[in-house]
Formats: sequence, structure tokens, C-alpha cells
Amino acid sequence: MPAGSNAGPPAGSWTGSTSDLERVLLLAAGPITVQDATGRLVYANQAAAKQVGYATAEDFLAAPIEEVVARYDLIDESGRPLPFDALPGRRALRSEPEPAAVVGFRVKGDPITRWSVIQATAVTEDGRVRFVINAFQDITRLKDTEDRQRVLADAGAILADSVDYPSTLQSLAELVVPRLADWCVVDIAEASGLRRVAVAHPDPRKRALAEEVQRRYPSDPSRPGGVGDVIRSGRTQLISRVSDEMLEAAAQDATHLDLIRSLGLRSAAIVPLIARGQVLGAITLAAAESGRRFEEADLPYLEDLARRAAVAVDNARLLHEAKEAIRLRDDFLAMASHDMRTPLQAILANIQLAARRLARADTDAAQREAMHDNLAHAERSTGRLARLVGDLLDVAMLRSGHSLNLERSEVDLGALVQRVIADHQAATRSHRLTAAGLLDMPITTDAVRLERVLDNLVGNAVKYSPDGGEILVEITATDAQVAIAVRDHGIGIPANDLASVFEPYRRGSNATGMRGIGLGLSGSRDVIRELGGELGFESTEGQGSVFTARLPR
Amino acid sequence: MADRSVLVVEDDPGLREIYADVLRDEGWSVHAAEDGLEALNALRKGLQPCVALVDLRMPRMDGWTFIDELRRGGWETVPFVVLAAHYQLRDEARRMGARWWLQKPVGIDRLLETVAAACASRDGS
Repeated sequence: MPAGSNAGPPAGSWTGSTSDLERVLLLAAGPITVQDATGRLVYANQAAAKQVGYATAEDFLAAPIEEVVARYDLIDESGRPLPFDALPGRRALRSEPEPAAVVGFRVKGDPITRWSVIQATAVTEDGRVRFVINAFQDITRLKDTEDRQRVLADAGAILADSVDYPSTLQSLAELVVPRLADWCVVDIAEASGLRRVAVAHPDPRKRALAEEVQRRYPSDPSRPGGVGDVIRSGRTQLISRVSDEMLEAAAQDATHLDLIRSLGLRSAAIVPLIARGQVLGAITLAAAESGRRFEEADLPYLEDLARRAAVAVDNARLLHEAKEAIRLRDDFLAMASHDMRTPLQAILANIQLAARRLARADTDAAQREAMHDNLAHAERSTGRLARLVGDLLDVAMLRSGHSLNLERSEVDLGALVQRVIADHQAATRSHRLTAAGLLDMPITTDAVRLERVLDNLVGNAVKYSPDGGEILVEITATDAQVAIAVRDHGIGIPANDLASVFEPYRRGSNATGMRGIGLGLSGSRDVIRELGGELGFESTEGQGSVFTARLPR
Repeated sequence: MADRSVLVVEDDPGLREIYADVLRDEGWSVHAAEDGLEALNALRKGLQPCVALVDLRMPRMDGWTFIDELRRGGWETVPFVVLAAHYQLRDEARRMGARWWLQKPVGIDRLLETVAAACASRDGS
């Protein structure tokens, strides 16, 4: 309605000229077209011409119908091709009542599908259709928002199922391609660098190409720009228009440049994956053949999507860590239960058996000897249990970064070695344990800790010489140091395992049997270091090992 | 079938010895094996114990495997008592379908009663 007409004639009656009316219609925001009774287009305004890719209404009207139809594909709301006869205008010509429909126009060469609600109204005279007016309402933006919401909802469903996050992120990447981008790549920051966990493109050949680029020229997070920058800063990077200069700057050599040019990147957004204040990685969305462009206005949405993905990655990692902690705990409990209940069983059974034997009236010398053995066994077992408890506490202290509360005194090293040997000799007949060297050597150290380490080393020597044989513990000294060497002729350590001997809970690949709690070699070395010394070893597979503790005099 | 005979399967030498002493003092004949493999070899050579007393965690062949071998190898009529330091042994024994189980440390009275009950179940069947 023209301005300043509020005092004019009643609504519904136009008093201007026909050409004025045409001007109003021509400039109206929404596209309007008029068809005659045969369906021929007799009128189109400016907006209608634009809708199908013509510069002016005159050009549109002058174009032959075949040309107009060839310019675009029509789709219905669910994306299926829409037959020409199903258009509301055609239905109005057939006198169907108030036809309306949501119609998508895919103009060839334009990356964006334009969506309209078309309402057709037939103008009749004497019951016959004279012409049909088609009024379009552009809902492209609305449809776009709806699509994006749908992507978010679908992403939510995928991410909720995120136990194995690399495959979840691949599903996410495949979801957003091609709905939001032509390319989607997800990189996760790990201690060792960036790990590419997902690459998606609708064309598998393109995807293979991207994977080849990554294999031949792995992205280096320390280089300025790109994913590395986004992960360091935690800020989104928008490259609205990818220029050839940018590709040249990013390429490491001419072949790399050729490869990345062939990806056809035109626009990109690199969004950080942030959860609980930590940057976990980045999701890169890029446009290529679609000609789409990422703008500042797209970023809040993309950041929302990235945030959801980051929370899923974070949850999956937490779940994994929790499961791992539970597994370690169960493993530890199983070992601790075994290692602590075994000496308890020996103590209980030996004491009870001795008591039974004592209760018998006819206790003779042989029975008294057997009772003595029972009590000695029980005593040895309490020692074993006490050492184990001490080891556990020491390992816990050292692992949590504390020093041991050492109790140094002058120690008769020879006697200590003899005691350890006697304990182990009592439990084996197939091994011969011998002490040699400077057995009258006094040193100042923590006797309890040193005894536990030697107990562990001699125990290993027995355990890893399953066929028996000689085990020699030899004490030597220089002016500054005392060395205690434990030598066996057992299975030795394979060359491949030599580097990992002191890792906690490690065993040689040729070792059978069970792990145990207690010091282990890693704890033994830590304790010897606490005592101011060093634990070293030499070993040859099949010939045996020698572990040497060197302590200050 | 030997009367009142026990096959003891235990890797700890001290425990093997004390179980044997406790059982022999009560008139049982004892064959002691240091792991499942040694016990299985004894059975293959014709040993016919009334009952087996079996530890779980052992090198070379553990108790789980040994009990599977009992069931598959034609010794399913030999009743067995699981005597182990296993954490949550009751659940484990149920999973294994063990009728008798004892968690270390067990007193010798209970040990003897259980071994006798397992052996008697065989006499009754």
C-alpha cells in the first residue's frame, strides 16, 4: 500500500494505475509470478527472477521455458526431485484448492539451495481459471537454521555413544560432510604430537588424497599457523577465502604444493575442541567444490558443535582412565591377596600343627624336631610378610615422590648376606647358595632396606634359574665403594628386554610364572639410590645374570 | 580308587610341605605336585586320588586350567577343593563351579574337614 494513504479509500480497492501496481509488485521483497490459463509465465517480479538466477524480470520473461527449466533442479522438503506438475501453480491450474508447498531451487552453479514456500491462487471468471498468481516466501535462512539444528541433534546422538572416541569423531566428520562442509578433519593433541583421528569427504578418492598428503607431509603442530596455532591459543581460525599464496606458504615443497592445490580448498574454519578449559584438539571444516564460504557468522554454531565433540572426547578419555585404574587396582589386589595370604597360611598351619603335635601325650624326640621345624617355618613366614608390608610402604612412598625415612647404623654386611642366603636356601633344594668375598665388611647403611633389596635380588636369582644351580653373592670393595653382586646361571634376560629391566612391573619376555607385589627391580633400584648407591646388571640370555648393588663405604 | 588319598597341587614349597604334614598326621596318603602340569602328569601315570586340593595361581599350569583338564580328561569324578589366596575367592569358586573352596589362610581343622567331606562325596556317589 502506498505511503500516506490512511485517509484514502477503504482497503481492498486500488486507486492507482495498472503500471503503478506493476511497479509495486516488481519491487516487492518476495518473488511473485503470474501464469496464464495455459501455464505460460506472463509476469515475474525482480525477486522471482533472482530466485532462478536471472538478472532482471525482463530477462526471465523473455527466456524460453526449456531454458528456464534447465537452469535449476526442483526438490521437495525431504530432498527428493519434485515433478514440475506438482508445483502449486500447476495444481492451481487444475483447480485444486489453495495449493501450497515448500520447494527447493538448486540453481546449477550455485552452492546454496534456495527454499521457498509457494502459495498459488487461481483467479477465475465464470468458473474457469483465467490466471494463477504464485507468491513465494523465501525461507532459505530458516531451512538452513533447521538443517544445522538437525546436524546438532544427529551429532548429539553420535557423540552420546562415545566410548571409542576416534571412531565417534569419524562418524561426526561423516555427518557434517557435505551438510556443513566439503571436508572435515579432526586432529587430537597427544603427548607425542597431533593424531589425525578423522578425515571425511563425500568422494573416497579425495579422502585418500588427503590421507596421502598427511602421510607424506605430516602436519607439524610446532609450525606457525593452522591447527597448531588453534590448539596453542584455543581460538578459532577463520580463513574465509583460501588464497594460493596461503597454500604456497603452507607447502613444504613443490610436490606438497601440487597435492594441496588438488584438494581444491577455498574456505576453511579451524575450531578448537575445548573441554574443562583444556584444548584437546581441533576440528577443521573446509569448503572446496561446493563454493561455500565460511563467515564470521558461522563461528558460534561451529564452536557449539566443537564443544559438544570435545565433551564427548573428554568423557571417553575419563571413562578409559577410570577403567584402567580399576583394572590396575584389581590386578594389584589379586597379587597382594596372593602374596600376603600365602605366608599367613604358612604361619597359621604351622602353628596349629605344632600345637596339635604338642597336645599328643606321646611326644617323642622326632615329634619335638617336627614341631621345631613348624615353628621355624612360621617364623620365616612372618619375616616374609613383614618384608612384603615394608616393601609395599616403601614403594608407595617412592612412587608418590617422597624420600624414605632411613635408619642408618653400622651393619655387619657379611652376616646380613648370610641371613638372606639361609632364608632362601631353606626353601630350595635344587639351588646352592653361597656367599663369598669380604664377609667381614662393616658398612653404615639402613640394614632393613638393604636386606629387603638383597632378598629380592636373591629371590629373583632363584626364580629365574628354574633348573637349579649355583647362586653366588659376592662382596667386593674399593676405597669409596662396597659392591654386592648376586650372580646366577639361569635363563638370563633377552637382549630386547635389557632396556626395560627397571620399568615397574616389567618381566623378561622369557619369564614364566607370576608377577608379585613388593619391590621388584624398579623398587630395588630406587631403594639403593635412596641409600646413596646404584644398582646395575649384566645379563646374557641362556647364561644368567649378575645384579650388583654399589654403596658408599 | 585309593582310599583316603589326596593330590595336593601348590606351587609354594613351604605350603606344599605343611599341607602334606597336616594330612599325613591324620592318616591320609599324599601326593604333592608343584603345579597343574605336574599334577596332570601324575594322573596320566595312573594316580587315583580320592580328592584333589588345588591352588589357583601357579606357574606353568594354573589351577583354572588344571580343573578344566580334570573335567575334560576323564577325571571329572575326582572331587576337588580349591584352596587359594584369590581375591574374592567365593565369586571365583562359583564361576568355576567348585563345590568346595577355602580361602587362605585356613585353619587345619577346617582344611581336614573339607578334604574329608569332598572325599566322602565320592564314596557316596
